Amino acid sequence: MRNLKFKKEKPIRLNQLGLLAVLIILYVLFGILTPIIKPGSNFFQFNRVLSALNYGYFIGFLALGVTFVISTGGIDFSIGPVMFASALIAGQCLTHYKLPLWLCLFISCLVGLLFGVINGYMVAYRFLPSFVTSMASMQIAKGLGSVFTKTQSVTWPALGDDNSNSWFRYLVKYKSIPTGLIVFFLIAIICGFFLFRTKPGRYILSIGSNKEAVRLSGVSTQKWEMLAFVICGLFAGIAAIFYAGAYATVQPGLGDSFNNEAIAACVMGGTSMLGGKASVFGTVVGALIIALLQEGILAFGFSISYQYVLTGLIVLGAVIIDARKHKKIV
Amino acid sequence: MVQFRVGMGMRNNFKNLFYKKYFTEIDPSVRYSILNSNENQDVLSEKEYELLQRVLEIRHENTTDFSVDKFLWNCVHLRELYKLKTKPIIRYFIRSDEYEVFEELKLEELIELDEKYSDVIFYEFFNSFLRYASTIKKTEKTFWSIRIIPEKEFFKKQLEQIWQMSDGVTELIAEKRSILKIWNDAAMFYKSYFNAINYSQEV
Repeated sequence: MRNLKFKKEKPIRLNQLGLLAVLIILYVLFGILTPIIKPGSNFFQFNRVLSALNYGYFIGFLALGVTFVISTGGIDFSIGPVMFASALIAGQCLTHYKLPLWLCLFISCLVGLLFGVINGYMVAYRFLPSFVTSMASMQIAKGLGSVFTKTQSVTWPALGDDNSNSWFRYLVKYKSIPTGLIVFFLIAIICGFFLFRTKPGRYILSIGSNKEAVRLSGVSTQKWEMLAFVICGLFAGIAAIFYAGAYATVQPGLGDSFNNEAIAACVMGGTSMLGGKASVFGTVVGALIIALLQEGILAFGFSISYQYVLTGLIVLGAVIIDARKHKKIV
Repeated sequence: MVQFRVGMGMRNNFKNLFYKKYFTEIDPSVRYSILNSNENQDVLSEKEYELLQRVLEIRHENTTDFSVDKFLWNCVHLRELYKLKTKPIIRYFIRSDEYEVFEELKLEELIELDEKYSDVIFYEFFNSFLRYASTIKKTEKTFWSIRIIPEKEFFKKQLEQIWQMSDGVTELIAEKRSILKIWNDAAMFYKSYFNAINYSQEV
């Protein structure tokens, strides 16, 4: 048997830049096909872009958060329901208990953070599989939101309501300016800086690559693995604010479908399900693609069910491609 | 004897059987026992013993519990740097001081003090590659299941990862420090040892 030799890997991969091209091509394609499939409608309208962005913000924050968890080799299926639980609890505090808006926004982040702490503790310190832990958290979050609001939906204040509790909507849109996009990009840049330029970020990535080697080196893998889940939970709480800012009404018992879309955005963007590899830029573009797909399907006049099918296929495709890539290049 | 690339400072075999036993053992507490056992008395001079002891202390900080392994961390760190350096956007934001992984260990100063340290450091680097390779799992988590990697693929995976943290990363950066040369030579020695062990040839 011949000896194995060191083999060079192709240094630059253009996956993320290719993804940006996909986003642009999709937009143009929807623009061309919409008037054909649904005569009289036009996809190239600013309102369509704003509508797509409204969907993209909270998916984007969920995807950014879950990027950290997937980087460690784990998974978090509770992000969607945690987002809804945060929005419901914070919204109920605002509308029913009349707490100040700033406090309710803080409560939203806090609820998400708490779920992150619990998930992180169970996975990192109690060594429970992240799959099982997050499934359990998902159910708890769904139930908690319903219990807190007594299964009633919560309506956050709209702009123009006669109170001072609607200013948070400016986080999403100010007049015609999509301020949410600016906030989203800024937070994504901070995430990228944190993940790739700081020690904790490097530890999180290393844990996904080879947890045992990191542990034997003397690094506390439990602490940094838990941090990934805490960040994910916090981002679910932030996503709740943007969801409420875009859609006002939050219904209990929902959120599952957003898990798949956030994970699809993350994996499509280049973050490996096996851990150790992440791309914040890819996650951002992936979230925008998911949002664009949703808007495109609605523009065609198809029902939301088509979107579920499409998202499922995207997740499957992205995971298969990721697994095959990982087999070729270690 | 396996023939492989010989570079400046390259060693092509273990110095003696004691060195082979000491540097192929991956458990640091067992290595410490080997170093301080009676077997070394006939083989090691007092000077050699001091060199080995000193480098072991630099590597593990604490020779009581060996919970820290700085050379192993450098394996992890350099491999991560290699992966980041291959990303299209992030590669431009890697700080140059990230590559100075051995500076705080002051290994070059140690070699300047006494040239004999370069031998010990070379074998210690080889041992860190061995230890790193032992942590690479034979199973792979897929989304829904666990897959056992076939043997040939597993060997490839081990060598690939060692290459990434040695020649791979130094090819991508301008760093030409002598300590990295010893590091890369140790990786080549690891490759030869690996091939010898897994393909039944002598080292």
